[in-house]
Amino acid sequence: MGEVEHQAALGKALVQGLRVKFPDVSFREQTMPVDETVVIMPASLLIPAVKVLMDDLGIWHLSTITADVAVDSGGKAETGELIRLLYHFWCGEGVTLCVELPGLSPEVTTLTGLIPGAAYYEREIYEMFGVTFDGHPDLRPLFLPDDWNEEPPMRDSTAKAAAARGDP
Amino acid sequence: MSKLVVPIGPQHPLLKEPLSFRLTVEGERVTESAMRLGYVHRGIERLCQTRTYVQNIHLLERVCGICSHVHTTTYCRAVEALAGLELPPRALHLRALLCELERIHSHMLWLGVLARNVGFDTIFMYAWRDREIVLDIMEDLSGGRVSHAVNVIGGVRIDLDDAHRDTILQQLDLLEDQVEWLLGVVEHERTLQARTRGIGVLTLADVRRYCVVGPVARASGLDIDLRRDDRQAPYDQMHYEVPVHDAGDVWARTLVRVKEAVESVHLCRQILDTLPAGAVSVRAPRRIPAGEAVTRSEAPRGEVIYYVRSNGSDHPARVKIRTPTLTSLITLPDQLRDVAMADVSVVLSGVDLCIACADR
Amino acid sequence: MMALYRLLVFPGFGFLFVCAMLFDWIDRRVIARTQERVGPPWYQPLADFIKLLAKEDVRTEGVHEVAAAGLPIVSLASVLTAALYVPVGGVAAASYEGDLIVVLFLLSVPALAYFLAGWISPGVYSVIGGHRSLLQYFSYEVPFMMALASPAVLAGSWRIMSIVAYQGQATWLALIQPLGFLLAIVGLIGKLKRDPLDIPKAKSEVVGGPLTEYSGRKMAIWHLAMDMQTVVGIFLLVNLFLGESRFLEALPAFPVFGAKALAILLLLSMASALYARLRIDQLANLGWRVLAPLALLQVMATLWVGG
Repeated sequence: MGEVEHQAALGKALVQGLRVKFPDVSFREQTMPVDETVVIMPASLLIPAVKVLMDDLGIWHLSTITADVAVDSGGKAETGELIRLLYHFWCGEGVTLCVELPGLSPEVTTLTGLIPGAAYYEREIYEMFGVTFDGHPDLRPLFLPDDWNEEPPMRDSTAKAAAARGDP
Repeated sequence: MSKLVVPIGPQHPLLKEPLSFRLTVEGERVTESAMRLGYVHRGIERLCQTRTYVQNIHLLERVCGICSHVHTTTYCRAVEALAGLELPPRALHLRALLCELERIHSHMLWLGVLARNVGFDTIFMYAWRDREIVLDIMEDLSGGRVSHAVNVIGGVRIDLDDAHRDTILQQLDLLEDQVEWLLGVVEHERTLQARTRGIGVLTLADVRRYCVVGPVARASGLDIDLRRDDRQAPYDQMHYEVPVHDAGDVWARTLVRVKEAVESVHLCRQILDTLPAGAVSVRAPRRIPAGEAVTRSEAPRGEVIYYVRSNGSDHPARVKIRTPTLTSLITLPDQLRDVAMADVSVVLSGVDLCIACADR
Repeated sequence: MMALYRLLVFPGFGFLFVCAMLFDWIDRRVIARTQERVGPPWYQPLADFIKLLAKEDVRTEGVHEVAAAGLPIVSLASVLTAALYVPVGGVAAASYEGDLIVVLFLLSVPALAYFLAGWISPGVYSVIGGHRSLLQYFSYEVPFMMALASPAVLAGSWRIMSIVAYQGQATWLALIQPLGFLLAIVGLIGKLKRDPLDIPKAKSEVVGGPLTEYSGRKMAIWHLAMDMQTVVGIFLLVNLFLGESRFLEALPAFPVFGAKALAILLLLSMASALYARLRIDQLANLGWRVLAPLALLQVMATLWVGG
C-alpha cells in the first residue's frame, strides 16, 4: 500500500511542479480508474508539461494518445463539440495529460519533437479526428486510403451513434 | 548498381498479413523503405460505439488473431472498474491462466515463423507441433483454440474441476520439456545465430524514444513488464522472472521470447496450484455508470492499453485501443535502413508483427 | 539398338526420370519424417509434374517467349547429356577420356540458364534472384570443381569409368580424401540450390527467385531439370568417391550403387532439415575463405601424394 501511495505521489509531484512553474494557470486534477492521475491543462502548456514529466520526473513512456469527442458541458454553447486529447504516460503508475481543443479546426503542437514514438498516434488522430499537429514531420493518413477525401471518420461518431440509438 | 524498388506486401510469402513495404534496393542493400498500413482496418473503435458493452467483448476478441484473450481481459477490466465491480479471485486466476497460455502460444508461433523465414523449417515444424499442446489445453478449457470467449464483464464463464486441473498440469510438464528443448536449440544452433545476431538492432535509447514495449523493448535492455510493474492480481502473488537481454537484435528477441514462454509455463503451474475456491463471476449491471477508465495489460507482444468512456448508457461512448504492434512498426524504418535484402525477412519477423492488431 | 536402349531407357532418359521422381519423393519423405510430419505418398512428385503440365502457362509481358521457353529446355537437355557419361553401376551410355570435364561443364549450364531466367524477367524478385544465383555460382563452383578434380588427379585419368575402376584397386576415395568428399557435398548442395543454400529462391526474401514468373509446362520442365540434376549430381559423387570396392565385389553392382546414391541423398536431406539458410554474403565468405582454400589444400595434398 505504501508503494501505491508513493506512486500516487508521482502524479501529485507533476501537478506541484506545474503549479510552481506556471503559477497563473489553473490545473484541474482528477483520478481515473485504474490508478490513473489525470491533469487537465490548456493546450499551450502541453509541451512544457511533458518537459516537466520527462526532465524532472523521468517519465518518458507515452502509452498512447486518445482522442475523444466530448460535448462541452461547461455552458459554452457556441463552441459545441470539444476534442479531448488524452496523453497517457506510464511509469509504474498512469499519468494522463488532458488538453481540450475546440471542435472547429482543432490544432495542437506535435509531441514528436520530444517523443518520436508519438508520430503514429498523432497521424491516427489526424486522419480519424481531423486534429492538426503543428510541426509534425510527416502528417499523412496512417490507415485510411491515400485518396480518402471524406470527413474524418471518428469525428462526430459519438454524437451520431448516440443519436442513432436515441440516447440522452 | 541500379536501384530497384522491391515491393514486400500486401501479398508476399514473408507476410501472412497485409502490410506493404516498398524497399529501394541497391544490389543486396536496402537504402530506403516506405510502409503502408491499413489494409485490414476494420474501424473497430467506431464499431464499439454502436454495440453494447457485452457485444463488444465478442468484437474485441477479434482485434487480434493470437492474443484475443488479453484484449477482452483488458476491456473487461476497464468496464469493471467503471462499474465498481470487485472480481472473485478465482476469476482473476483463470483469466491470468489463459493470458499465460496465450503468451506461450504466441511466442511458439512466432518462433516458428522466424525459423520459417530464415529457412529453418524443422524448427518451424517442431515449434508449431509443440504449440498444439497449448491449443489443446485452451480448447479443453474454453472450447476454442484461438478465440476463447472466456471473459464476461464481471468474471469468466469457464471453470475447471480438480481432475481437469491435473490433466492440464500433466500437459504442462510435457510442454515445459518441449519449450526448454527449443530454448536449447535457439541458444546453440549456429546457423540460426548467424542469421539473427546483429540484425535489426535497437539500442536502449531507440527503444525509449519510440516508446517500444514488450519483448522488443526487453531485448534491448529495458526492464518493463506490466504484469510485475502494474502489480496486477494475481501476478502480485506469483514468482517469476522477466527475461531481459541487452543485445537489442533479433537474436536477443528470440531468447527473450522463448525464455518468457518457459516462465509462462511456470506461471501457469503456479496459478493452477494456488487456484482459490469460489465463484468465477459476479453479476454485472447492463448500464455502466458514466466515467472513464484506462487499463493496461501485458499482452504477448507488450503493453495493450484500453481507454473506455461511458456516458451512463449500455453502450460505451468511446473505446480506444492501442496495440503493441504499433510501437514496433514505428521502429521499422530505422531497422530496415542499410540492411541486406536477405535480412528484411529477419527484421520483419523479429518484431513480431500483428497487422490486424495494428490496423484494428 | 543397344545404344538407343541405353540412351532412352537405361541408364538414359527413362531411368533418370524414374530416379528423379523417386529421389524427390525420398527426399521429401525423409525431411518430413525428420520434422515429424507424414510426408507425401510415393506418387506425389509424378502427380505434381503432371498437374504442372496441365496448368495454364502464363506468359509474362516483356519477356522474349523463345528465351523463356528455351531456358528450361536447355537446362534439361544439358543435364540429360551429362547423364550419358555418368555410369550407373558400371554401365554408361558413353565413355571416353576426359568425359569428367564435359560432365562438369554440362552441369554448369543449368546454373547459367537459371541466372538468365532471372535476367530476362522484368520482375524484381526474378532479377534479384538471378543476381544471387550468379553470386552463388561463383561461390560454390570453384571448390566443387577442385574437389572433383582431386579424384581424377589421384586416379591419373579424367575418365569417370577409370576413376571408378581405380577405386576397385585402392579403396573408396571418400576414405582417402574425406575433405574432398565433404567439399563436393557442400558444393553439390550449392549447385542444386537446396536448403540451406537455397538463397536464390528463398521464399521469404525473393518469393520464387528467377522462376517467380514461370508457370505451367515451363515450370514443370524446370522442376524436372532440377530433380534430374540432383540425380546426376549424386550419381557423379557416388562414382568419384564411392566407386568400386574389393569388399563389395561379390554383391550385384546395381543395388550396391543404388544404396550408395541413397546414402548421399540422405546426407543432403539431413543438411536441408538441420540448418538455417545462409545469407548470400555469408555463403560468399564461406566459399572463398573456407571452402576454396580447403579445396586447394586437397588438390595440393593429392598432387604431393599422387604425383
